[in-house]
Amino acid sequence: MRRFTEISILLSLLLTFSSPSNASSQTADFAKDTASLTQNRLVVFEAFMRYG
Amino acid sequence: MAAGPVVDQLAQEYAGQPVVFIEYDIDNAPGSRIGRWWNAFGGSSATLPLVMVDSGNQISNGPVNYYSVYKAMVDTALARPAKAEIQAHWWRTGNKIGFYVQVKNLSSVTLSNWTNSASVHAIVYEDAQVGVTDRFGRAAVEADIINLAPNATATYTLETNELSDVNWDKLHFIVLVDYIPPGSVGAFDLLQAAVALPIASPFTALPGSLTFMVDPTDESIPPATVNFQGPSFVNWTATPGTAWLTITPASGSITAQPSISVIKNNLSPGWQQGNITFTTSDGLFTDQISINTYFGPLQRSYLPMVGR
Repeated sequence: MRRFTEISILLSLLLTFSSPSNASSQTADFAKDTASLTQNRLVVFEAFMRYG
Repeated sequence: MAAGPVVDQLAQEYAGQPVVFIEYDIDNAPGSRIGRWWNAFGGSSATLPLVMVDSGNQISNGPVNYYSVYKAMVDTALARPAKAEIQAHWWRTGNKIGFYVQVKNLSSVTLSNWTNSASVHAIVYEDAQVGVTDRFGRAAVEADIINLAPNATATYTLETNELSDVNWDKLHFIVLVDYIPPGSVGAFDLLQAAVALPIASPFTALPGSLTFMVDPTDESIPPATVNFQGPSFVNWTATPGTAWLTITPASGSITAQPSISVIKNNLSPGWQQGNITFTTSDGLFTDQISINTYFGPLQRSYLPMVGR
């Protein structure tokens, strides 16, 4: 029973203090974003109106 | 046909082209956009609707042949060259929208809010019939351009006020740069505009925390890799907060993956906590990774692993 408890604690420690290099692998999707639309000119048409 | 339906018709006709149509409530227009129209008009009284493209480079007011006049304004604007390059991103913080924008000045004029009222604007509009068209301006904010020489690049951050009663799935986000060009008696002109792209956060270093377990007999300590989230134009610099941490490289681009290492000789027995601060090169954003390290005799047990 004591040996089982020790193994359980060891497993817990292994899971808690997993290798730092593994810890960082959870973030593979870095810098997914790409440049926005910059080459074509974007025309902005603005209308000020009254309603109601 | 009335002006509102004409604007909607034009929006459909130009759906595949780089044109956005925005209606504002003239009695409650957000930000300073309405001021651009009055700057171009120069007078004190006008007849609705007030319409402008390119921040006032062209304006219209009152009853006209809406379709032909408005269409001609758009076509004229489409034929003009861009005088700035914009990369823009937006993210949601509660009920506010943040913008992170990079502007490159392609004009021959130094942009300066002091001398030519140059500024960056972020506009949020919604696909909704609140007024008389199917698109309605919800927010408009601006940031001064202090001093941006020809071909120079700078970054800006903006934030809207709280948005309420909006359908968040139907919002659009654009950013533009305008100024009063040389020779103008007051009318603004638009250098460029761009659709802002969504981003989770302006700058994040991952993972948020790390743990190292170091035995005095360890000959080498595996380093941890850092990844970043943020716009592609972002560069960063890292500053370790303690003498037992090091990072290589200490600066780089958003796609860099620096390694965090522990310097065993600088560790104290037992647990210690430190951090590394990452700062964007423009100084606008920072993020931190928290690092806990245990230094002392470790009893390692190696368990068999089953794979398939």
